[in-house]
Amino acid sequence: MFGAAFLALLLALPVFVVVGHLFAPHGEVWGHLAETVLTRYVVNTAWLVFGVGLGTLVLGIGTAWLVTMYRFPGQRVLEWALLLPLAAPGYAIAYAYAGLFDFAGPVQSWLRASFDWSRGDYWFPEFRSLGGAAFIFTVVLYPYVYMLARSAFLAQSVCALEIGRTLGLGPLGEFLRVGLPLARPALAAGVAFALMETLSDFGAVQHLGVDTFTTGIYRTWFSLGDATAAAQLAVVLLAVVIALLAGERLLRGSARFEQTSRRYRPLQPVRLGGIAGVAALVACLLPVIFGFLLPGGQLLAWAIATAGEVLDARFALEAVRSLALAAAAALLAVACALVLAYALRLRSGRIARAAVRLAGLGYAVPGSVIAVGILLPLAWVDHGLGAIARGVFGIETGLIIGGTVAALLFAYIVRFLAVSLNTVDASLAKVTPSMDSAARSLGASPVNALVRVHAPIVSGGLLTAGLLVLVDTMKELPATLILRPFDFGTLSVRAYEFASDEQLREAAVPALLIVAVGLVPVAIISRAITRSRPGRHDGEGAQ
Amino acid sequence: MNATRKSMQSPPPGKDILPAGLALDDVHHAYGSRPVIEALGFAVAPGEVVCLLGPSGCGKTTTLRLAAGLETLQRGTIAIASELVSTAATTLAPEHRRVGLMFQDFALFPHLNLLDNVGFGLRHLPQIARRAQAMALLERVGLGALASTYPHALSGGEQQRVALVRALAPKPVVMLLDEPFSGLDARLRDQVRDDTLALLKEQGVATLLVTHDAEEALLMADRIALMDKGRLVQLGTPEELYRRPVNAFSAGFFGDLSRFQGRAAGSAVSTPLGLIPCPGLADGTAVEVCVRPEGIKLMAENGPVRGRIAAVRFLGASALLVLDLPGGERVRARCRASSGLAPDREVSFGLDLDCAFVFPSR
Repeated sequence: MFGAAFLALLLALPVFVVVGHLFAPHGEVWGHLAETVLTRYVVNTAWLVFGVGLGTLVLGIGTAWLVTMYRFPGQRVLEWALLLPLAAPGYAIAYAYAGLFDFAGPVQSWLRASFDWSRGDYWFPEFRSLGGAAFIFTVVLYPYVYMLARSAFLAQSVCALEIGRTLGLGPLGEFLRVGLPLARPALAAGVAFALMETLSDFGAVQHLGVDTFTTGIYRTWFSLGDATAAAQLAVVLLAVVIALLAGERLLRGSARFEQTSRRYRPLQPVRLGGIAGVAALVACLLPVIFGFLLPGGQLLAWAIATAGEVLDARFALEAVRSLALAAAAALLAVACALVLAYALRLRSGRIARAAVRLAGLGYAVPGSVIAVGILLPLAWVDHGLGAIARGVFGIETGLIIGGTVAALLFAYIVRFLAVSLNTVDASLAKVTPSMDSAARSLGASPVNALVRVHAPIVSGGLLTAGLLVLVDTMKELPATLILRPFDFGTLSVRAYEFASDEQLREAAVPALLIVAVGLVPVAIISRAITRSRPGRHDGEGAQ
Repeated sequence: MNATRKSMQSPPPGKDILPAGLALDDVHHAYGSRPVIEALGFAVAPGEVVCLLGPSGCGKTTTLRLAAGLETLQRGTIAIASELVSTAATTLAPEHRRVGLMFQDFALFPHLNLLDNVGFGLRHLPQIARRAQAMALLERVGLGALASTYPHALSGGEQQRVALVRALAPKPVVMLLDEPFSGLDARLRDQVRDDTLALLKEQGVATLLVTHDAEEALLMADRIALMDKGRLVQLGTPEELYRRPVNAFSAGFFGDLSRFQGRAAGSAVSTPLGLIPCPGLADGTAVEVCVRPEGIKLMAENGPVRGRIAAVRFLGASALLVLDLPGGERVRARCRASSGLAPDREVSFGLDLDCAFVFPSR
């Protein structure tokens, strides 16, 4: 039990370290930051949060409502295709858009050639801008809202909607006054997810030249070399995240809109034909095109063109290294989640619960904040160890733990523990306490019950949890950039380095590989959604 | 938990022979500082069904968990098959106690088919024997054809039967059932109860069944142990509990009561329904008189008490009446349904003293 509490505290440590810097004295750099860039960070972040929040809501709700309430050509395929943008990390899509709509990119070149324009003759939207970033985040992150809104709409028994109709609501009123309010908690959660991803993104905003807190933290750390100021920027970002979480809680309210009646009658979707059907198809297809097909196609085209130069021994090494690193992170994260989930199961006191929640907080915390929260204490440890080594052995040690793979793995676990914890917890909940008791009374010792009852029931969930962490780790960029050992490349770092050198075509190969891996959780999620459809009594659902 | 294979052989002083089934003696239990069971003691003989009955939160499920070894005993002793299994010092692990457990949610293992669920507790047997035995049990409850299906495909009644034979498979000495029928449809319940009772009797196992449903206890039990606030209120056959309740709680648990306050005078108490004897109570003792609805006997004419029908509820064969008495009191009566019963009618009736109980007021 103490082990589990210690583990939970250890995993929450980076957040504590960052928060602790709230009270550290403000240095010279902080003053400089406050005068010059801080306002820009705040304004940019606020606009992004506003734009992405609104955009993902509209896209997510609209597509989810169309897909669940109506039947139109292509609707079956769109149900899962709408999830596709989740596969790609924001930075990969940003690279594609930047290249695609660049002055020298294919679209503008084609326009110039077709209409015989030259520079300055025409207006064209600039994707390397705040608006471009908001657009890209919206088309990449709307699936979070879509996913949760869709399952919320599906979970609503048709009875509630039909009663709405009998009380005099038309189809639009039904949507606005029954469907939407019932789905409110799910929508709040979906937008919160999308905004957390927006806030934690580093690669996309960096490439698009939009200064936000994450780029600020990175620059303060590497260019200005001021750890305290970086941590103080991180505190501000953390405060925004916490406000976001609080807002989500508030919107969710005390209401628990679960299905109240046990008699579930599935929705009877309305068939849309003719122009209405085509309009619905187009409306749902556009997000998939802009969020996945178009940028994905561009990446694919570049990747085919440059594969010959990019694929070399170094690239192979980095790919294998990425995979190994992610696999190790997945194993460790699942192991930690198991320890915590079992500790909670055996003794679910208030303290244990709080500790586990704290440890799961990492998912809301941007990778760059976690990186700072890890590097600072490690630097103290290394300083201490270095001092001892100098004093006792008379040798210079330099960095011992900081800038090692161990620190990197720790960051991944802190960041992605919540992913594995939720999945492990959900699968462990399938083993009810009475099953434990039944197994014991049937002659199984505690260990025996673990092997014969828990292991087979939970193993599928563990595999899913591991896969999700593995993919998230492969996509991760900011923490990897900050914490990686010197000259230690991964796929995401490689994509970033190419893009920073304006070698967007070369960046496509590693980016596309990451997108391919990212398709795995999309497949898992879409399968889980169709299975958890209420009214299906096959007992396998509700993961 | 201290899970030693050997149970303690020496009986406690003053108890030479422990009973063959399940025996609890002077059991106390508290969660933190809140006592949930106090001085509880009773025994269940092999082949006997004892229902542990009481309102929710009275400690009956805790009692069951203590008997199963899922909770550590704090004070007292629990014996199974003449061996001590729980004392304040040691608790024999559940897997070594030879108890069968059954829950409201049935707790079937979702990853095992029916045959493997039933065979779960037969690990000590070689596979062929294990399968044969599990199959025989499944066939006994008419589920042989479904042996290779998985629990989620079963109806509630079928799951209940699987859970029952799974618990019985290792031939336990004691069966512990926690609200085993409350998850079922009312329509199914009577049949399932009968089948369950037959199977338990056939196996000759000592059965402790927890329920909050008085009717279920009357139907199933050889003896009922009625609990309230962690204490044993009354232990006896269903008839004893129904006919000779020891207090107002016990009387009230098995049906509606009409209650009157009064004082004992000359070994009797005067009520609006007439004089009711209360031998042994000193004059002046404040008492509560409880009358069961079926104790009110409607009479054609000239009954000792007159009243007016305030309301009628037809329940099929019988009817439930609310009667206004001349003094303004109300009393509930259950009688055979007949056409003459209508509100506002004057009726006369008498009291069956077997259905009237006098208890000193608390």
